[in-house]
Amino acid sequence: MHVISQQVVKKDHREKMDGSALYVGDYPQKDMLHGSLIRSTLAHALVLEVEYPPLPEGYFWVDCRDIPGENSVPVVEDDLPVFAETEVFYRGDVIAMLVGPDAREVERLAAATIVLYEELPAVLDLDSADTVFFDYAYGRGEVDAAFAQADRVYEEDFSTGYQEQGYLDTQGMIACFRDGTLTIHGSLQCPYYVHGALVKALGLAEDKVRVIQDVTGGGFGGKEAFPSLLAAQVAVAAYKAAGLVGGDDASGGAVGPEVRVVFNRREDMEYTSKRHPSVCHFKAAVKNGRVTALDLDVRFNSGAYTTLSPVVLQRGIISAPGVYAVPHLRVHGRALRTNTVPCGAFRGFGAPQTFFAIERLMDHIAIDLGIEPLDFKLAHLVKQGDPTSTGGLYHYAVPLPQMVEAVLERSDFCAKRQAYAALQEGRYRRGIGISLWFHGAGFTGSGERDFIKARVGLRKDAQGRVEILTANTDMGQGIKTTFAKIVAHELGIPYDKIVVSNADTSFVPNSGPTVASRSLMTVGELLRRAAIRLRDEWMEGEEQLVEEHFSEPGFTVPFDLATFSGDAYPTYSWGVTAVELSFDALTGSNEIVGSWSCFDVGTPVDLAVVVGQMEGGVLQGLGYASLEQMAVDAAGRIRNNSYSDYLLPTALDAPVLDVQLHVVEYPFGPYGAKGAGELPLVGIPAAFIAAAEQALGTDAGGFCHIPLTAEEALALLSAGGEVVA
Amino acid sequence: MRVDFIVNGEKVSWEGDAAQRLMDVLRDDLGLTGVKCGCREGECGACSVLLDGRLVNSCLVAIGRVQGCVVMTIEGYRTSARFALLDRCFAARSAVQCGYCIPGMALAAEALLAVNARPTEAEVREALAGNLCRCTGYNAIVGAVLDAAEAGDWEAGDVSLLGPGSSPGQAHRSHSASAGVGPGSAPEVTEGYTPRSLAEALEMMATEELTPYAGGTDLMVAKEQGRPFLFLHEVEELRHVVEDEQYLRIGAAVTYAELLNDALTPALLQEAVATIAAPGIRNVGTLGGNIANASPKGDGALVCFATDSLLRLASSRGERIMPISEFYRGRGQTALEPDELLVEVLLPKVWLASGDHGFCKVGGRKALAISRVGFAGLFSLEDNRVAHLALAFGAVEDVVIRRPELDALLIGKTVAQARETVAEYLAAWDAALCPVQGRVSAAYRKQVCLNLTADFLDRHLGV
Repeated sequence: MHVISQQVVKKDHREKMDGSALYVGDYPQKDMLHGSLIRSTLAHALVLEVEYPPLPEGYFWVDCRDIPGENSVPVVEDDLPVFAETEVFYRGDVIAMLVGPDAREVERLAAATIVLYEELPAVLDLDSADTVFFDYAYGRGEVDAAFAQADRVYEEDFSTGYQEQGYLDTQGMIACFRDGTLTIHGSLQCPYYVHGALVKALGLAEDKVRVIQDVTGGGFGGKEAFPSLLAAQVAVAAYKAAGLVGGDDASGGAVGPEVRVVFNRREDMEYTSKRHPSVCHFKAAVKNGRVTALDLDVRFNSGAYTTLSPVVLQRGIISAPGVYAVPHLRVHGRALRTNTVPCGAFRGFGAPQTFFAIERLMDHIAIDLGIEPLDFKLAHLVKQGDPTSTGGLYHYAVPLPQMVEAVLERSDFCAKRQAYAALQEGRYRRGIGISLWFHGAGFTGSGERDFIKARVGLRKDAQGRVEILTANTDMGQGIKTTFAKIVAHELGIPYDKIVVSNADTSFVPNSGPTVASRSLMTVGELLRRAAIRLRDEWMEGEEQLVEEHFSEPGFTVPFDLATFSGDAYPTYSWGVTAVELSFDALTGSNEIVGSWSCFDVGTPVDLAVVVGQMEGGVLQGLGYASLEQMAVDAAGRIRNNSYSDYLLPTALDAPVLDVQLHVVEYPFGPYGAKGAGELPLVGIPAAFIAAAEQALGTDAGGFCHIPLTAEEALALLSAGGEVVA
Repeated sequence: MRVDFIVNGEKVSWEGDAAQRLMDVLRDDLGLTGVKCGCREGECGACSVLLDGRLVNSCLVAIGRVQGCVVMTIEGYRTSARFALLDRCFAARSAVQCGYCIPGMALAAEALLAVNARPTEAEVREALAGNLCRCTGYNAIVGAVLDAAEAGDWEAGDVSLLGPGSSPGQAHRSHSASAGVGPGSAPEVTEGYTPRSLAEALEMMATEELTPYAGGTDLMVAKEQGRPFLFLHEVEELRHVVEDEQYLRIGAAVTYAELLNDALTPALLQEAVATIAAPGIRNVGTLGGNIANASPKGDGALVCFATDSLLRLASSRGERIMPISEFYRGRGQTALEPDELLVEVLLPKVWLASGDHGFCKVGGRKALAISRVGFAGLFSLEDNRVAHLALAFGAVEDVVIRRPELDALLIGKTVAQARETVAEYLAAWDAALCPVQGRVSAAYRKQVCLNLTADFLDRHLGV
């Protein structure tokens, strides 16, 4: 084990353990104004008029007319408005905000506000969607010829549902406008995304907007793009409040009150971004027992605005062929508009959907051919030096065979798989399944080089303490700790001499967003290099500042988004998981008997941090497969908007999660580290459903969707039963 | 209402709406923001505190309920040596990720270790089942609690006596509710009453329209009522578990946790109660509240149906006893008069003692689950004849279903005769059940009821 892997006490441990950490909802509310959002109650409509109740003094509303800058939140495109203008596109679209000093009164006034609409036709599901936001295609080889020459052609539809991030700390922002500067703090992943959104919405200079990350209680992608929207709404309210009810400070500068919006659980669950529901129509040509061609069609439900859909879709389709070497390949992906909540980032970022489809397709082909699925998969694995789906290269070792061995041994997979294949009777039916996957490390394509251009800094004070200056945020994943370990290691000074504050755009450089499992691999490496420079230039008793900039590793095949060609990722993290389930034949309920995983994320910069990430991701994947059910009803409403209706696994639902690590070092990550955070979730649903198929005896033509419900399972378990749609 | 209680060793006098959540008072008025707000409906455990040493969800406790009580939050607990040990063990496993669940987890661990110094892994998971964590997958947290159990002497000392300043009640703070002084809206202050005896409680019920508050775990989720609460936790006459020749007699304000720990509680009721929510809710939720709340999903009420329990109702005008089957008038509707209290549940012992039972709760998950189908059954065989059969189904229709006339098809028959009648019996249930459509379909509910019934009979008749 590398010395850097040794566990340390996390930088943020103490303040979280003893309850002293302040999350956005914890700030004293005295003298703050409270905001309550007025949302569309229709899925698609023209807003004719908003009738506010008589507002007491000190209360006011904010809408699109109050935006001093542009009514547009930059994500990838610019279609997301801060406040809706004439048309609302989903049930929950924000029309206005009511603001005032008493939270309950604000709620009452917001509830008494009447919006008059002209209802328009709404598109609520993927199959009815006809507006294509994004359409990508790529491929190689002679796909049609391969299908024409195939012995067998397999064709299936796979679908996945919503998944809600379910972070315990709901979205929230507190803003104030004072002396020409807008300061905002809240629960967020990407301070500079929020900063950019506020510069645009308020029309302020970059140095007149300050964004501070509060202690953030989980993000999982849900606080990547959405906080930009909420921040813009709250900032516009703070801007208006400064003019309406603000006072002057002693020197005559304007002092606006703080405006606070912190979502309750239902608002957060119903109206913030989730994982894209998907439908994958996958076709495979098989010749002489081998898959010769794949023709893969991927559709993601974007919801009402584009938000992160293009990049989610890119990762989804690049991952679509899975970990398999297939000579002829055609991939087509579309993100479509519906009048539902805009989807966004969630751990895995498009890959869980397509990995579910390809892993299930490979399982089904193998079963039809009478081959054990795992053997069939191993026979098709990519290896080092093979081309990737987009014509890049697997530059480094592909350790899946060794990782599969590790999982087989720990789980006793082969014996169980064989035993459960026999006809099962009695109340409880068992099954075990396995899946194999990768996660491309870091941003898709050349985003680091072309857009992010990350910068980091290290600031040493006279006492020899070193402060880490990055925009990367710790939401629990441990980046404060791993960054500090890297810097301490290179400087050869104690870990507790390293200071890592929450990101504050007034003094940290833009080291890019905390997304895409990039922070440790990319920003961590910059910090490592910065620390080496500081070590070399170290002057005892002096204040010093060093900076470091991103430079592209030279070995990659440049990625071209227009043609989807080249190295989409410099390297890959790898995952293998076996899941064992037991079904109750009387009720259809399932119990997770166990999960056994092996992950390669390169060198763990902290063993406990990495294992914690892996375990947490596995459990989220297990939840995604069955427990976590969320749907839109005929009115476009999400009913599963509470923790009692959207079920997260409890300590009793989770098995002991067995995790092993395999290390293939990445030379351009710190000490060989690669992307880690997203990987563990990605392939879990496929293993779960493979286990369910075996337990339920539906190996041939089995399950092609998640989440799996107890009703469906029971229908299959009941004699002559058919799957309830 | 004025509420005097002790928080982290400090006396607090608080004045305001008796129905306010303890969580809001702790966070907003006392500044104890280590108490986290995750859902406001008892589904996440982030707001867990110790109330008189027991774990509770502070969002489901009305402030009036803590009159005279001792509350400990993480801010008090963190000053103890016991916390220091947990802290070290959580740190050593890097069990803290986003941290939002952690103060609640620490208090849930304390509540466990205070009564079980050497828990098994399963016991730790059970103890933490009401505290959601979205980050860790629970391995590290469960491991840290086990490590702490291993490393410390948890039987020594009582954390409720630690806290800031070793002599509780020295300091004194007065507070009033911070909410509701907006123009045009007079703060809605709801009074609350804390009677010390049943007679006093009934007198209050006779004088004013009140909502009886036993555990509050359902009332505080709904929390849309204007009537003042009548807090029953200090009425000793409602807190007994005793038996006489015929009945097990359970006071209406006995909590689920007390039932689980009482040797008199029959196995069927133990099994049912163990499936209810999670420890923090079982510590305050009561059997009486479960029945009087009139939800068809009550797991405790289901057992009372299967056992043909009787309910004792009292008012200042007198008492009456009625079978539970006559108590309900539809979903949310009961036979209680406005001035009447449910005071006692009488479980007939005869069939519980002589026969066998079955229980199954089908929920969405293993803890914090609302019943989708509930099944409770009693079966007794005497001289190779079916002496007794009683099935009840919960969460299927608007009221728990108990149909003795169907069970009569098998009662009195020999085992062989009964076997031959099983098909007819199942068909009768098939015809009788009219499940509602909800989070699961009516067809699913019916199928599960019939499957569980067939399985129950199979086990006892060997069909």
